[in-house]
Amino acid sequence: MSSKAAQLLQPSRILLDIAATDKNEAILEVAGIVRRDPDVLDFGSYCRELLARDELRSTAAGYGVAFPHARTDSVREIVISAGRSAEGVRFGDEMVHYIFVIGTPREKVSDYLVAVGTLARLLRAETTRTALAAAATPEEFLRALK
Amino acid sequence: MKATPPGAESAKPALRRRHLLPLLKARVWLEERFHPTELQITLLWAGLVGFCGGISSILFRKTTNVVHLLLTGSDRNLVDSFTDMPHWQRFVTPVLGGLLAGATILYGGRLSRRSKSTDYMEAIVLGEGNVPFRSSLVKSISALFTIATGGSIGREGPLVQLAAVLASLPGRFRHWPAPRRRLIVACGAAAGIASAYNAPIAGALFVAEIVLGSVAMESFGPLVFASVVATMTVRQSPIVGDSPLYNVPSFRLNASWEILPYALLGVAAGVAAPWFLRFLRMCETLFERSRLPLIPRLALGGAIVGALAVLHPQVAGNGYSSINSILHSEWTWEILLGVFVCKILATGATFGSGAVGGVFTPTLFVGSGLGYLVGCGFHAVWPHSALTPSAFALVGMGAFLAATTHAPLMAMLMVFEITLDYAIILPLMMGCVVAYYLSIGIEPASIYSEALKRKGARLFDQQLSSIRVQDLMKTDPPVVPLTARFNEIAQNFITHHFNYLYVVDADRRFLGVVSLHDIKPYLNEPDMADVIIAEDILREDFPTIGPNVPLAQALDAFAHHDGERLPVLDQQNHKLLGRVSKSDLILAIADRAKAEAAAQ
Repeated sequence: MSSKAAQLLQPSRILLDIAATDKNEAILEVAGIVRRDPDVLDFGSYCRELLARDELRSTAAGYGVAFPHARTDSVREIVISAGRSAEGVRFGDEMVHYIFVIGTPREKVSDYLVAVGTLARLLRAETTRTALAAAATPEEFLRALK
Repeated sequence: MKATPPGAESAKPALRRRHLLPLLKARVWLEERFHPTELQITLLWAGLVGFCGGISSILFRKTTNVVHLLLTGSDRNLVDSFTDMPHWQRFVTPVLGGLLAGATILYGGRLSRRSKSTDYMEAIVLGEGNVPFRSSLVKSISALFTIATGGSIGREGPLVQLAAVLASLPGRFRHWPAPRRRLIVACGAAAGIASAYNAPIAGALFVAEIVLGSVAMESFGPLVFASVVATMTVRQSPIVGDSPLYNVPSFRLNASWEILPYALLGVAAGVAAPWFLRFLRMCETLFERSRLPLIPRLALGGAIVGALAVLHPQVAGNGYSSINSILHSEWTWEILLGVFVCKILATGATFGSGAVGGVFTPTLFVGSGLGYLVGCGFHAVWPHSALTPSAFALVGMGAFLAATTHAPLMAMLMVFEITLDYAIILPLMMGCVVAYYLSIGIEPASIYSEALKRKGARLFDQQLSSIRVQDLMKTDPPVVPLTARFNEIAQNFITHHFNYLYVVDADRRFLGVVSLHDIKPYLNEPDMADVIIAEDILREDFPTIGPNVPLAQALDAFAHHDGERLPVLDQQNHKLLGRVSKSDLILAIADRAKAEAAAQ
């Protein structure tokens, strides 16, 4: 993973077992990891925008991974949190096992593209997904992305 | 009741028919054989305009003499009558002239529509060829008072103004198209100069070189025709006659090297002329800063001239008789230096105070004075050469004129015409060209171009304001919805070669743009295709423009935007109406400029 995304995704922001099975609940659960992050200025608004964006067009990428995201004024810096669901969460027609929630300040279009582009490229590879599935700790999960 | 002789009733119509029919026949015959082109008709009008210009010139001169007689009691020329005056009268006369000139503009201005410019150059170069009649008349009368009371300003200003205003009348009444109206007003101006200096070639060239900037035969022909007719007309008047304006002693070069000092005179004139122009502008600024009302301002200008005339009565008037004295070497350099400095100050005071008139003749004086002083220097070094100060005065006149007007051809021919001395032509050409090239390096604006440039910029703005964005807008620009996927966005960029793609909602309300710059690094990334939609990369803070915005304001908007196009939005509901491109604006401006050029 690129240094930028690696720096942003820390072990503390990785949830290995998502409890929710509903799409919206799962997104909020993963987003909830950064609830107390100083870069999140308004968590409620952040969540609403995440759900609204997914409502607009599904954020599932097509290979068991979803990138719920929002460009929002509710975050000061780009924030990423990740979650894994062994059971899977249904995003429309697609069963998703890995959810990467990304919040970007509204004006930082390029940062957002860098983060999403990097993650999408990595997770398209099946080997990465297999390694993520095997990760026993958040640190291993993060290593699988490097 | 008288009995009508039998047949008398029918005899009159028959008689009329007998006269009318041949006339009609002649007209048909002429029309069948001669198909006058527009240029030929223009030439005829140019002749008529030249005649009217000549007549107005004679009348103006006569009226100036009468006003001078009434106000001073003297029928002699200005310098002579000022020399005869007691000191108090030398001072009071120009003050009186300033008061009368100011009152004429102030009260006469109320009769005319003030918003219109009276400048004939503006009417020819920038306008539609209309010179307002009443305000021109008011300005000419004001000039009449300044000139008749010794103001240091040239009568060529009002002469050209009057000739131009008369020339604009037929175009206005006959509803001519603007190009012809402008050309005929230009003919009027040429007639004015030609009649002022008894110099037809210089008259035509003055307008061609300074005002039109072209000696193309389509315009130069009528200018020459008008100038010749005007000159022939004024030569019938005993005031002007057919002798050259200035009588100069004969001149000849004894050796080829003697031309070099004249080139050095060209250098002196080329350096001095820009400073003279700056001095005039400085005087203008000083008077403006004084915030004096018009009448006291012109009176103050007159008072300065009057005070200088107490010292040197030669400063009075346009400098014509003083030039003649210089050309005949009647002065020592010490006296001339005093008069020279005072004359420059007097011209600055009259011109700066806002008096109406020309600076052409005072410029000739400054040139001749400068030439004479330089000539005195050379004469002192080589007393036995042909380097006479009066010959230097003549060349100095041309060189200084070339350097202030930036019209060397006109300057050479004018000095040649007003002296009719062919022997002077080589040093004159040398001096004029050297002075011209030096002066344009120091001061790019000529005595005429700066005012025209200021007015031109104003008029250009007006023209830009008349065109609105909706006139240039292209409708149906490519758009994408907020949910458009990355692939769709990329496809649009490939098809349309834009840098920004507009994003609209279902009601076609403008939401923002997707920038090619933002997504360029990812165009070949299939991984992005399924994740990114327009909303994710939307730039909402993109500048927009309204359909009624004038072109000038649209240019301003582009000045702050690096893109090629701006979205045009309905200002009420923010719906996207179209797009306007920078190139469309530039083309519209170029079209306008081309139309202007074609019209000339």
